[in-house]
Amino acid sequence: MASHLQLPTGYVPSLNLRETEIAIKFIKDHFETALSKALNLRPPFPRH
Amino acid sequence: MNLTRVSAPLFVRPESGLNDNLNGIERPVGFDMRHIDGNSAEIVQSLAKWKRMALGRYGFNTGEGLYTDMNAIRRDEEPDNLHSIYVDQWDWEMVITREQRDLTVLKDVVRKIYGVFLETQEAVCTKYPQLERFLSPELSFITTQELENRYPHLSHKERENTFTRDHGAMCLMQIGGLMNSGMIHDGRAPDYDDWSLNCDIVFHYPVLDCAFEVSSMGIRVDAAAMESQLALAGAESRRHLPFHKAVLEDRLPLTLGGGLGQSRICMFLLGKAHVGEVQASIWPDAMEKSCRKKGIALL
Repeated sequence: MASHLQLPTGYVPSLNLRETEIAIKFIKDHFETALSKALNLRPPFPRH
Repeated sequence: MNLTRVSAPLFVRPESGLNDNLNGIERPVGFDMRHIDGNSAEIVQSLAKWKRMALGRYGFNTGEGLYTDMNAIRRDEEPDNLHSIYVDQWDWEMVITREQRDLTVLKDVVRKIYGVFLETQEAVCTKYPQLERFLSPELSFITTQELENRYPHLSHKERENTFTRDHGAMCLMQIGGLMNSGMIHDGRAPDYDDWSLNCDIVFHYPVLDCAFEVSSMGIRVDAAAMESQLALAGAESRRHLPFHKAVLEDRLPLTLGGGLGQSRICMFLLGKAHVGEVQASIWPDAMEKSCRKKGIALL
């Protein structure tokens, strides 16, 4: 399995573990809101 | 696009025909249930077919649609920097008319989605100035046949790597059917996307110098396309499953939908080397060890 792994030379993560977790939430919240706006969402379920 | 958020299943009954068969060889995770009739269920590998069934069942009209968080397990996935047995997506699907079943409509939706990527990149790079902006301002549209014509001697993966390296971001259309060479670019299940009306959104990723797929989407099969693609795939035994019967009998709405990889998008925008840096999953021991040595912190 290690043969499928790429290890980029000189890779240093830009964010540490804690910053990464906070950034993940930021991205997910922002992307979902922006996607909803771009796709013009209607009020929530349930429907009748 | 008028989408409503809905709750989606983590597992389905195998006899419903709703689970994604992917390329037809992957084994879903199945389990029995002590106190429920029918005794067995499968964890979803995607919601591609469930969404369309839900639109029909809940009475969505043309121009309306749904979106949901999808979590799936693909136990037969080969893990690497981009691939995990755990897949998390934003999954969306909308009802369209027969007249809207064309590539122009598909491209319009793709442009809207690409706009969301650019906007999100701007927001996250403003918040974290140490991050790099990798997205090109423009997205290039190309079919698998055009890609084959351009690079006839490269493998399909090399074609994607080369085109995205040169153009930044690509919408690769018409995946699954035979090209002039007699080959297919990549396998696609025969029972949701119309192979002539689907696409992947793929970026060039400088951290790994590779093509990086973030979304797969398409206009779904109508009865004629389902008939044809099941035959081409040798999957005609599925005709009798409830989902497939409903499509063949025109009892489900015509739809356009797709999935956007949540972990992939986080990995891309944060400049990570491995998807395991943005999601908790299980990895081969050798991979974990190699990542640890190189400072790649898998969650």
